[in-house]
Amino acid sequence: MLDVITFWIFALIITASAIGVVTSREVMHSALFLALFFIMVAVFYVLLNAEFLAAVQILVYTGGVITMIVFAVILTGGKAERKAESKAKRQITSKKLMLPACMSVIFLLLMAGIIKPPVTSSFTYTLATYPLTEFGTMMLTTYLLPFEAISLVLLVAIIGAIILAKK
Amino acid sequence: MIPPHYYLWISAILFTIGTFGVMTQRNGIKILMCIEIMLNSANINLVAFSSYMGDINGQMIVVFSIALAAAEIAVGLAILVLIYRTHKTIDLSRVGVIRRW
Repeated sequence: MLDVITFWIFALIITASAIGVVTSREVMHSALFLALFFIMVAVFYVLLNAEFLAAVQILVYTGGVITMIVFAVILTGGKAERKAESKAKRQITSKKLMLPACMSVIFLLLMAGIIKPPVTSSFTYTLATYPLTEFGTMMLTTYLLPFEAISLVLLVAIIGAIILAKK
Repeated sequence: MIPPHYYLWISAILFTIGTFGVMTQRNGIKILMCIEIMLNSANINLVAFSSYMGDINGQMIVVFSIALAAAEIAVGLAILVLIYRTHKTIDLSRVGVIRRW
């Protein structure tokens, strides 16, 4: 019972931070909400006994991606532009939000129809825990080709980003 | 014990929030953030199934998914910085090279 209560508290925090990313007016605020969101996703990984993925999540997302986003916000965020944008935004707000809101609600209802709770409530679940060595052996045996491919993709992405930004 | 469909609920809600953000936002950086929200909600789904069904493949896929998301956001932010340099704005509804409205 206690773990379910903990789960719902974390669920509330993660939903609130995701809504904060979408609704906050300042881009820097939504970047910080996004950092909270990533940390809460890592908390969910810990709840699911996936500690390695939680560490990867913190290192890559909260450490790397948020830093990049904050740098991009600093590089692109002009004061004058923000003022003009907020003025234009207030005029169109309610009309333009209707269709996406309806589509989102329909989408959520569709998914709610798909997700079914288990029939037997007395069934006990067991969470699997994987040792870190298993990840290492999987990466170098079964997933060797995707592993090399992903390293190539990362290299190409970094070179491409540098070429684009230096143009 | 937390039932597995709770994770599916929270993942569905987060994915919907991300979709709504992509549809409504006009700032390019915010759209990228919403895409990250969607990717992370899918990752929660994968890890939940992997842990409850005792199959490590789901968590391996999440490792690759995280690496791909990092590459995606690096290129995306570089493109946005480039757009800002040429158009002096990152409001994607005002970057009118292809679209004219």
